[in-house]
Amino acid sequence: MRFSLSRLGRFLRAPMPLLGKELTEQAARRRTYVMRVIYASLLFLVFALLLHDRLRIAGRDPFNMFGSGRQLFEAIVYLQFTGICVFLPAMMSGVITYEKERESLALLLMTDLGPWEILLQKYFGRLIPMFTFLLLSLPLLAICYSFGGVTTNELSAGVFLLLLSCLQIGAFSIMMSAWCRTTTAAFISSYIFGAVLYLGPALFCLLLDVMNVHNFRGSDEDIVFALFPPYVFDDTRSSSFDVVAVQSIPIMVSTVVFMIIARIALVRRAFLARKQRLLRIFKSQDVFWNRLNRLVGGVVLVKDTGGLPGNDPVKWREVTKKPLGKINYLLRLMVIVEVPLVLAAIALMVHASGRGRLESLSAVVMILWAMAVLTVVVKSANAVSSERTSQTLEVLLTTPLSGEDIIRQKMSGVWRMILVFLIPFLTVFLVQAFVSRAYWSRGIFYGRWDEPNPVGYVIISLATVLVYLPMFAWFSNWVGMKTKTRARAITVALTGVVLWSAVPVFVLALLGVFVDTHVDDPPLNWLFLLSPATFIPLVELGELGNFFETQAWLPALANLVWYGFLLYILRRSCIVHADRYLGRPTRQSRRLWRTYRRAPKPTVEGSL
Amino acid sequence: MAFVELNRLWVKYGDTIAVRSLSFAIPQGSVFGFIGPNGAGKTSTIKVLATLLAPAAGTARINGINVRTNPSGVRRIIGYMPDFFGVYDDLTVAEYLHFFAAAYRMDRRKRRSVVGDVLSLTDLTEKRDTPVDALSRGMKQRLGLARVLLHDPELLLLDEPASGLDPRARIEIRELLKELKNMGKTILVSSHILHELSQICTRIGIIEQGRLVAEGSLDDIYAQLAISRIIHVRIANTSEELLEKICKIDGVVSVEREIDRISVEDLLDRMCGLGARVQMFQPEAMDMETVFMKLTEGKTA
Repeated sequence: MRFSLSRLGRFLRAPMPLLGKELTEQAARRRTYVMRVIYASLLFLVFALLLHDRLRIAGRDPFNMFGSGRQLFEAIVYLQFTGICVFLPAMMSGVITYEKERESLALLLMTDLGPWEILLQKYFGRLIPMFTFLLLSLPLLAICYSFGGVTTNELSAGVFLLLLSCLQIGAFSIMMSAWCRTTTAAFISSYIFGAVLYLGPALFCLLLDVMNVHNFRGSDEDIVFALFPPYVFDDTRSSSFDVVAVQSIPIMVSTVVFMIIARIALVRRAFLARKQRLLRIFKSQDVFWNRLNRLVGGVVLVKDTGGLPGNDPVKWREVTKKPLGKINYLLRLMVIVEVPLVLAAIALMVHASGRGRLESLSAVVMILWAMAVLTVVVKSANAVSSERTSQTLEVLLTTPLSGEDIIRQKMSGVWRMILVFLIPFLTVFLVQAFVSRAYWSRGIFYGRWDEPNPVGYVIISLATVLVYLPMFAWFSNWVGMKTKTRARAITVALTGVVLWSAVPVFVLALLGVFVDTHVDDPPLNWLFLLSPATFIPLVELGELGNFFETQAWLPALANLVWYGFLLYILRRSCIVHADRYLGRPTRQSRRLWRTYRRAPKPTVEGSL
Repeated sequence: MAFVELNRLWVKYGDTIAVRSLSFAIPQGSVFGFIGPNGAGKTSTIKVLATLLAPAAGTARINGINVRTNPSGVRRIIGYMPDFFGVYDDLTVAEYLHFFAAAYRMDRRKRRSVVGDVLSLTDLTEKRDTPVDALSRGMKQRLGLARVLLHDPELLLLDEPASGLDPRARIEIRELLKELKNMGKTILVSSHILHELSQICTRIGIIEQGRLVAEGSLDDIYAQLAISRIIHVRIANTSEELLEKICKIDGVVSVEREIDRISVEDLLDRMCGLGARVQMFQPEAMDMETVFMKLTEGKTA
């Protein structure tokens, strides 16, 4: 891989067919413009609300606005960072896997285009639209600058770091795309491993800090967050552009490393065979577990019925042939989740102290929630869409099985999965209740519980799991039935859950600014229950009563009723309209028929 | 009474009309070959009969049951094999068939013997414990046929059953269809392999741009199309004079150009009468491709 300036020159002068194709395709899609308008609307709306807030604080004296550009500028830059983190992996993660799925990557690799050319043209094909998103904020940055308080140094550092952030996250996502076989895997991996990359070191240090293994100092932050552009931006207030440039070196290096890995994976992982990795891992362990079982006398806790299907063939396949449906494998999965959970809980009980113990357990609950929701959403969205993608649904639809039968049986694997997650949830809730009870009995109270009621906490938390997880499951199943491909189903379902969780909070927060009131004032605060992501942290923080300024059981009940109702609606919609969603013609097509009945009857041309 | 009856059937996808006022009938026990270029509307028509697609207008009846108003009744008497179909790659051949036997609500006690029978019929008995995804394309097609036979349906809807298969697999499928024909099944089969259809079909329908352009038995179509026949004649003592004389025989248009409507026997007698010493006399086979190419223009619906 020799590098020379002449080669670079040739590379830049060479035609870029792939880049042209990517940009032309995106320009032809309506979705590109819809996304751009949504992005711009959100950005300008937030800016207008922030400006409104600043003007309100400034009062009637316009001189009070002088110097207020800094806060607005920082808000815009952080918003853009968020936009990059949210949108760019979604845009970039399918860029190589799409070619793999259509088996066109081989054709590309056989052309005169080298791997680097393919990679870079694909990379910039998605980066350019993201840059146009960044350009949208230029007029806003100009307004901020005109208010004063922002130096040219900060302005250039902000723009520089936003561009770096695009390059880094783009490189990371294209690396995932080159590595994974499917768009779904690349999409999920981009977000999960991206979160691990940015937040993993911080969480690890926090854990060490809580357990008093290592005291987390400010100087450690520079290392922990070295790859996180918003952290570097936070330092721009006190640093010159040169310092920012030096601090950005790890980001630049990481970008180059991601691109090199992507280049290697592009060729080496271009032709990946379909592997049921999870199933293979479980099957490979079967021998070990069977031997171990013989040592303890061949105890059989759950008999693997296997065999042939009874009267519910779809259910039989879901619970005996799928790795995440088979009871033996699910028990192992539960052990995999439960054992580290118990060990972490014990470690926290032993090492952590005071408030940190409860907060750490709450963090464990949150991680468990994230894992459970992600698994349930992916499995449910996959249930029907996988049949559609693998072209097995049509055949199933010509059997006498009703749509309701198919859906109910399809979801049986999901219910088993939820049951498996219930046990770790129950474990951590009980530990949490025990710890809080212990503190209360010792007279140590850290403001977590208005009225220490560990039993109430366990009941409310468990009821939330029992309502939320089936609700997300039915929602994802509904999405899966309405979408054509598995990748799209999972992407849409996950995006839907994220938006459902985030948008109400975001809108209410904006509304709070707009109507000149505090967001946690009643009765506005009850609207926060519209987001399923609000209730759980409030329960974990013991702020349920405080936030709603009432007895804790009332919002708990309201939450269960509201989401129980949504669960009922989603479930009913999936079951009642199953045939239609699955693609069977229904009575609705009669309307179409009536229209055509009135149409003139043509003669059959060429009939003999 | 016709077993399958389509009456002024219309199928529409958005603004695209796939099938326009299609009408035909298939008697019980017959094999109906459905022929047409890509995009002609064959698959759409079959999907309507398989209860997978709602017609925009018109009626489709199978054994007197309206597919629109009683789809579940229709599903019990049909076996549908799509042109492209996936298989559950986590199942073995026997498990796959048991899965669909259960989906067709078959009695559990009978399933084992029925699965054995269809495996035997499709010559897949030795593959019963093989994972489905390890089968070749031809074997998968045979497995598809085994699946549609599980519940002993009266009507088989086979959409391009031989597409993408090698010659041997195509012959195997053709032989299997002959076997099913002998079993008295009513079969609607679409294909591009016209020559093969001509060997098993009792009736054919040619569709183009969503319209039926010809329908009937193969002989009817040949007769009604009035296609000129080419006869290859090899004459030992050929001469310009003889050719001119042959040209003057009634019914002979030209010795070089297509001629029409002449009795083969008469032609031979007349030529012999003229003193021709015939070494070879063979009418050119008029195949389905000729009919197809004459009737269609390759346009889609």
